Amino acid sequence: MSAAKLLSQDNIHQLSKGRRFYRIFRDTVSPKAFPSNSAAHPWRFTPFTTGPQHTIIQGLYFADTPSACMRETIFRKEKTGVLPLSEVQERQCIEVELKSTLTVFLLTGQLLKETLGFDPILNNDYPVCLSVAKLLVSKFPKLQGILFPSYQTDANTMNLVVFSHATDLTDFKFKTTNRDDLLSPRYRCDLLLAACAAGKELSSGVRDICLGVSTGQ
Amino acid sequence: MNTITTPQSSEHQDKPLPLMDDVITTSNYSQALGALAENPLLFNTHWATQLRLTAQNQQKVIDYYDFVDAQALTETLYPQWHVGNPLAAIAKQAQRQALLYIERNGQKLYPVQQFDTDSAKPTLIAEFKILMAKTREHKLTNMELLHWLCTPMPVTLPNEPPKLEQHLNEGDYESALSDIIQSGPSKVIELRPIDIVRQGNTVLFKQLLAQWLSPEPVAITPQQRSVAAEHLKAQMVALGIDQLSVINP
Repeated sequence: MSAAKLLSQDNIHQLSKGRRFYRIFRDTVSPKAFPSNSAAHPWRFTPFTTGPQHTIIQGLYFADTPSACMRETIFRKEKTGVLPLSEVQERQCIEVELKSTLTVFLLTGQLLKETLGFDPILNNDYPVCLSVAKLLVSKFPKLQGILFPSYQTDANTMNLVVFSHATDLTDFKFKTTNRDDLLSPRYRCDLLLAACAAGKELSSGVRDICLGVSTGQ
Repeated sequence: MNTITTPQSSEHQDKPLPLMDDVITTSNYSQALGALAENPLLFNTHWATQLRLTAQNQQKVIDYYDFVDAQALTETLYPQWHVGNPLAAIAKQAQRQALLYIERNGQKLYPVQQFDTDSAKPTLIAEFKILMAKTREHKLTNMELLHWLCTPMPVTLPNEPPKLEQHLNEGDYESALSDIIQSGPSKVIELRPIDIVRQGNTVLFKQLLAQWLSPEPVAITPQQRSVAAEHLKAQMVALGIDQLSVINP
């Protein structure tokens, strides 16, 4: 194992202006709002505290495609059971474009295996992922986010988390023209494709709407 | 019989989807089908995949649970239960949706695992009452509920996270990383919700349930459901899958 590799500047990259991502969010909150989830219910890389002031760092998550977003949220491998209607009814998807470059750490599974001896992203080992994020943010103060592979998709798609202390999201253009409900005609196909690719059954309630006979239209 | 062909290549491309006979084709059914026709993707293998998943999940339910009919329920599980007409009493409970059941060939079958067999009369395990109310709110079927209950789900048992603050404040990143490596990966175990609820671990059970059903849903009308069910019925017939009756018990 070569622990030094994880702390190497070589892993820092600039995401170029114009790169697009997608984000799924509950329609009760703004897509631009950093969440306020507590340490008791962490997501993969956030929240954590850092520095002598114990600053709380929150994260906003994105993925390469609408389907990847769905695989990372409502169709996660570890989620069992049919997809209930409530999971999709109150969620929307929005396209986001970088207005300027973004400084990110490219955290691949190979790098983690070589460094730690195991891959906490693959295993959904959130406690270890949180420790790694904390370490990286401390080591690289200018870091704005982490780019990491999506193991939910079994494909070469990437996820992005950006940190609340490093960006106020003015670097992002949230394209409201490409914002819609997951059950809208715009995203309904992505929903069906993501469900089938994930091998997840839509509940009868979701099927009702996808078949085009409900208020989702 | 009217037919429509699938507009995109798929394994069912050369298998036309049959419409129902004109006699039983309702305006609602045409409406549902029309919505599908506007979207070619919905016509090909993806809905077929969904139907297969439904059939597979239903088979898992059938294989996992021990099902009994009302007669066996009263005679085997609760032989000491004395009531005038036990079969009618069970049927009434089922009608009130106070018992979990599926329908097969028009017969109601009750999964034994829902019952508290220490009781003298047919009684649900307490958590099941809450669970059934919750899933009804979410418009889920009994089959969908039973499938979730018997499917193993991974639960992470986190290691004690390493205390990194001191190393990080001192700029000693190598030592911090070393601590992460030494703490090692967290353990992941698989649990079936049905086992958790039967063991009486209500706290963990509520956590698992919250992962599945969190926000409250918006209502769907019975008419909307029935239209969708009609369309699925046609597709299932086309694919040679039966047992529609258990999709919407």
